Amino acid sequence: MHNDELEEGRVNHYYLKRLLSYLKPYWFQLVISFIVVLAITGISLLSPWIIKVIIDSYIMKGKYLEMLRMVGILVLIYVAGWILGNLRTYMLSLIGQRVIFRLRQELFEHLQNLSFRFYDNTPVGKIITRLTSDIDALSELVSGGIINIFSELLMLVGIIVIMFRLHMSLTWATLSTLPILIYMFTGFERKLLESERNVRTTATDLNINLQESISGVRVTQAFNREERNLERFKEINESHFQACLRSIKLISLLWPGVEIFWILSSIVVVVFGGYWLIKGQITVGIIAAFLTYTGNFFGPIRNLSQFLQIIQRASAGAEKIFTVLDTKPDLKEAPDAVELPPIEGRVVFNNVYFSYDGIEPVLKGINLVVDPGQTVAIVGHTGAGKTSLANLLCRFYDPDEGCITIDGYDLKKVTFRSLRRQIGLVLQEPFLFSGTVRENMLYGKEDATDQEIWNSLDIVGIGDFVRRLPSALDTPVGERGVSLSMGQRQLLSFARMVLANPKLLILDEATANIDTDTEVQIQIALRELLSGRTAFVIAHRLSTIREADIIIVLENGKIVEKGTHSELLVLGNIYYRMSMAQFRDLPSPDTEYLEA
Amino acid sequence: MIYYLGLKWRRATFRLYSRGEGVFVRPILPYLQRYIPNLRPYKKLYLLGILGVIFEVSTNLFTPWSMKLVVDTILASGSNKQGLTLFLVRIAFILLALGLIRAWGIYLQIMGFEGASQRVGKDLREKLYDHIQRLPFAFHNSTRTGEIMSRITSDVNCIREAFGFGSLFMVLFIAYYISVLAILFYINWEFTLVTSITMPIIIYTGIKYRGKVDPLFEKLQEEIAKFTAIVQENISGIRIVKAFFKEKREIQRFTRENNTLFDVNMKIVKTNAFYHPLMDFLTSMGFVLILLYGGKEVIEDRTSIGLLVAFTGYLMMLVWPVRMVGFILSMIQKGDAAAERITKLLEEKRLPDTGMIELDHIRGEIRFENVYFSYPDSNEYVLEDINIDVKPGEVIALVGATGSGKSTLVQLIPRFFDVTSGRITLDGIDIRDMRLSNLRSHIAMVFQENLLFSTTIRENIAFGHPDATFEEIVNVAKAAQADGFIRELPNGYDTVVGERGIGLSGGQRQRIAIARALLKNPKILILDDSTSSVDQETEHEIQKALENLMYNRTTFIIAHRLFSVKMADQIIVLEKGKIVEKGKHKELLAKNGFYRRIYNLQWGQKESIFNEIRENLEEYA
Repeated sequence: MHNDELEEGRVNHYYLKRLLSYLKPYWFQLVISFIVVLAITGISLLSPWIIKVIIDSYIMKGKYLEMLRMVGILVLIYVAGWILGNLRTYMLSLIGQRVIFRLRQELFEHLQNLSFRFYDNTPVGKIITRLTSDIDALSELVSGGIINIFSELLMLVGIIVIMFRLHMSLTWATLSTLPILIYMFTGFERKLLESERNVRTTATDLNINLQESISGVRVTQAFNREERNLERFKEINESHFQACLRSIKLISLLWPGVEIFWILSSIVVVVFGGYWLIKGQITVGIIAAFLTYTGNFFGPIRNLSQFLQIIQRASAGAEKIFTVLDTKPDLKEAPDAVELPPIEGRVVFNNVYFSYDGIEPVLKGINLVVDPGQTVAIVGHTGAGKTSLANLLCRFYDPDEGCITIDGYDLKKVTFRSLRRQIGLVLQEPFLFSGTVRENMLYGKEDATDQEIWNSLDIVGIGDFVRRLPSALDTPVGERGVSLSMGQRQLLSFARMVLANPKLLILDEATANIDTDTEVQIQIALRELLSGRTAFVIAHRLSTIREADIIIVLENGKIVEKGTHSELLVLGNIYYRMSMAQFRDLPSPDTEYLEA
Repeated sequence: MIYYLGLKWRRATFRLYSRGEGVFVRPILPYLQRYIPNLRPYKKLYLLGILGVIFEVSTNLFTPWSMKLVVDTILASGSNKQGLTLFLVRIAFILLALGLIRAWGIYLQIMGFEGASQRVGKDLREKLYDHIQRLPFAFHNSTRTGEIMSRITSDVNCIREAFGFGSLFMVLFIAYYISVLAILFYINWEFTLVTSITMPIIIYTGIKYRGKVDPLFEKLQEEIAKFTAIVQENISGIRIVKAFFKEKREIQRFTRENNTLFDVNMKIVKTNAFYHPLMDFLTSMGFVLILLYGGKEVIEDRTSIGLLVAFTGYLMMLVWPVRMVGFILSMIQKGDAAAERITKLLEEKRLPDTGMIELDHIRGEIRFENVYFSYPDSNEYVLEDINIDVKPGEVIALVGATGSGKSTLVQLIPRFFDVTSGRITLDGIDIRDMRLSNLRSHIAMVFQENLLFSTTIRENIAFGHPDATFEEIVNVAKAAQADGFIRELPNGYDTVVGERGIGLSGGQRQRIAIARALLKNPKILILDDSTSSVDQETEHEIQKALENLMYNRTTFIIAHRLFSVKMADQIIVLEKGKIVEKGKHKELLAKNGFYRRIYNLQWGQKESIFNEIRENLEEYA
C-alpha cells in the first residue's frame, strides 16, 4: 500500500481534461448550478452591506419604518439564500455522484473484459484501490469542486471590491494582515498533511500487528508469548501515539494562529476605523461591515489553499483509473467467431508454444491428441507448465505458436461463450461467492431447479450436509456465512460443476487441499463424472492419476513421458520415481523390497 | 472524521424506565461514565485544558464590549476629539494582549484535552490487547478477527474522541453559553429574551440533523464494505467468473450495489442540502431579530448604537457553539455506544488461573479421568466420559471423522478450554492446580494451519524462547528438515515471512512450526498433523521431522497419515465425542470394527495400489 500513496505535486492535464469530459452530459445542470452559485455569492456579499445601510441610514437617523422595509428585504434575501443553498448542494452533489457512478461502472465492466495477463501483473489489492479510494480522490473535484472554487474566488474578489468601495484606506490597512493567513494555510497545511500521513502509516502498522496477534492468538497462548507480544504492541502503540501527538501539536498551533490573524485584523479595523471615525470620514456601519468581511476572508482562503491539493489528488486518481481503462484486453473474440457446437471431446494440441512474459517459454512444443471420453492426467513438478496447459484450453491465453482444437475447431475461432460454457474447471482453491448455497450453485446453471441442485449435491456426496444446514439451500456461505471446511467448499464447487454439466472437464489440483475422508468421497463422485467426458486432471495423488487413460509427465514445458499408469511404471523413469515417493510413508518391509 | 465515527447513533440517553414501584432515570451515558477513572492519571492535562477554556472565553468576552466602548465614546465625544487617539491605542493594546492570552488558551485546550484523550486511548488499547490475548479459545472461536479489531481501533477511537474534542467542545459550549447569556441578560434582559429565541431552535435542528444523518453514514459504511467485498470477490475469483462465463451476471451484481451506494450517498446529500442552509437561515434570523428589536431601541433612544454592535458581537460568539451542539452530542453518544461494546469485551471471562503449583521438571504422564466437555452456552457434550492413561514417552494417535472431538480433546491438555466435569492430571496433579504459564511451558503444539508472524524466520522459530542462540535455532531447524530451504531464501534466517514478507508454502510453514515447537523442548507434544498440499519429497521430509520431534516425548497426534497411526502406542478412535475403540494398530485391525472401517476408507486404498504396483513390476520384471 505504501508505494501506492497518491503522488503529489504533479498535475497531468491530459487526464484531468479527460476526467472533466465526464461532466459534459450535465452541462445544463452545471450552468444552472453556476448561476445559483453566483447568486449565493452575491447574497453573502450583499447582506453585510444591507446591514450597514440599515445601521447608517435608518437606525442612526431614526427612520424606523424605512428600517422595517429594509429588514424585510434582508429576510427575503436570506430566504432566497436558504432555497438556493439547498439547490446548490443538491445539484452539484448529484452531478458528482452520477459521474462517480459512471466511472465505477465503466471501470468494473472494463475489468470484466480484461484478460488474465492483466490480472497476472496486477495485485488484487491494487485493482480494488482503483475502484474505491482512487475514485474517491476524484469525488471532490467532480462534485462541484471547480464551481465552488470559482465562487470562493469571486467571494474574495467581491469582498475586496466592496471594501474598497466602502473605504479605500481602511481596506489597505485590513489587507495588510492577509499574508499571515495565507502563510498559515499554505506553509502550515503542508506540515499538517505530512503529519497526518504519518498517523495513517502508524495506524496501518498497528492494524497489521493487531490482525496478526488476533489470528495468531492460539499460537501465542500455546507458546506463553503473551508478555512478549504485549511489549511489541506497546512499542507500536507508542509510535502511533507519538504520531498523533505530533499532528495535535500542529493543530494546536494552527488554531491559535488563525485566532491571532483575527485579533490583528480586528485591531486594525478598530484602531484605523476609530481614527477615521473621529475624523468623521467613516460611519459606524462601515466598521461593522468591515468586521464581518474580514471574518469572511477565512473560508475562501482556506478553501483556495486546499484547491491545489484537490486537483493534484484528482489528477493522480484519474491517471490511475484511465490507465486501467486504456488497457486493451489482449484476447479478443474473432469478428467471424462461430458457435462451438456441443463438444464431443476430441482435443488436439498442435506444436503449442507459450510464454507469460514473451521471454521465458513455459510450454515448448506440446503435441497431444485426446480422443472423446478420455481422461488425461498431467503430472510434473511445480512450474512444469501443468496449469498453463489448462489455461490455454479454456482460452484464458492464446498460445504464441501452434494451435489448439476441439473437435477440429480452432479455439481462436469460436466464441468465448460457447467454449467456456462447455468447459468445467475446478481449481485447487475452491472459490465460493458470498451468497447462499443456492446462489453459488446457480452459478453453474442459471435456471436450475431445486431438484437438479439437490441431485448434483448428492452426486458429490454433500447433499446430506447441506440438508442439515440451518436454512439448507438458503444458508449463506462465503465470508459472511457459515464457515465451511476446505473440503466442504471443494465439494460444493464440484457440485457446481456437476450442475453445469460441462462436456469437457479440467481439474487443476482439485483434490490437493482436502482431507482423506473427503478425498474418498470425491473419488467416487469423479468416477461417475468422468465417464463419457473428456477430462484433464492435474494431480499429484496416485490414487487419482492411475486410472487415467493417458498420463503425461511435463518437465520444463515439455512432455517427457506419455502412456498409461502401468506403461510408465515399467518405463522406470520419472513417473516411476514420483510414484515410489508416495509410498515412503509405508513403513513396511515391502518398501525395502521395492527400493532394493 | 464523521466517516470514521460511523457507528450507532443512540437516540436517547435519557430513558425513563417504569418498573412496578416507580420511575427512575437512567444514568446519563451509563457506559462512558465507567471510563472516567481512566482519565484520572491525566487530571493535570484536563485542568490545563479547562484553564485554556477559561482564558479563551474570558478574554473573548471583552471584544464586543470594546466595540461598544469605541463606538459610543467616539460618537459621544462630539467635537471634542482630544485624547481619543490615545484611547484607541490603549484599546488596541488591550485587545492585542487579550488576544495573545486567548491564542495561548486555545493552544492549552487542544494540548490538554486532545493530549489527554490520546493517552487515554493508548492505555485503553493496551489494556484491551492484553485482555484479548488471554481470553480462552472458546471466545476466539466464536468471534471474528475483524470484530475484535474494530473494538480496539474504531471503538477506542470513539471513546477517545468523546473524551477529547467531544468534552472540549462541551465545556466550551457551556462556558460560552452561560457567560454570554449572563452578560446579555445583564445588559438588557428583554433584548436578550427576544434575540435568543432562535438558539433553542438551532440546537433542536442540529440534533435532529445528526439523528437523520448519522444512521445514513452508518448505512453508507455498510454499503461501502459490501461494495468492496463484491469487488474483492470478483477480482480474486476472476478465473471462476471467466471459466463459467459469468461476466454479465457479475456486472449485474455490481450495478445493483453501485446503485445502492449512489442512493445512500444521495440520501445524505439531500439531508445535508436541507439542513445546512436551514441552519444558516436560522442563524441569520437571529441577526434580523437584533436589528428589528435593537434598531427600535436605538431609535427610541433606550439603547446606544455601541450596545447594539456589542450585542451583535456577543450573539455571534454563540453561533458556532450552538450549531455544534448536535455534533457534540452525537460524538459523545457514539463514545457511549462504543464504551458499551468495549465493556462487554472486557467482561469476557479469562480462564481462572488460581493454581499455585509450579513444576520444573515433569515426567509427562497424563491421565484423563471421566472427562466431559461442552462449550459454554451449550448443553451438548462434545466429549463424553473420556478415560485415557498415558505413560511418559508414549505416542497417542487420535483417529475419527471431522467433528468427532479430536481437536477439542487435545486442546484440553494445555487448558485452552477447561473440562466441564472430570479431571486431567499431569504427573498425578490436576492441571487446574498448576500455574497456567507453568503448565503451558511444558507443552508444545504444531497446529494444522501454522500461522507465522510477519518477522524474520529466526524470530519465528524463537517464538516461544526468545533468548535462544542462533546455534540452537539452526539445530532445531535442521532437525525439522527446514535448514535446507531456509538457507536458500534471499536472506536466510533473516528473511521476513508472513503478511509483509515472502510467502512460504504450506509444507515449509509446517516445518518452521515444527522447529518452533522443537526449540521449546517440551515434555509433552501435541500435533495436529495436517494433510496440506505438499509434494511427495516434502511429505517425506516432514515425516522425518516429526520422527525427530516425537523422540522421547509424550505425544498426542491427530493422525491423518498412516505412518503416525502405525507407530502409535495407543490408537484412540473417537466417534461423536466418545471413545469407541482403543488399542494398537494390529489389535484394532484384528477387531474388524470401527477402526478397520476408517482404515480401509482412508489408507486401505493406498496399500492396495501399492500392492498392485508391486504385482505390475513383478510381471514386467
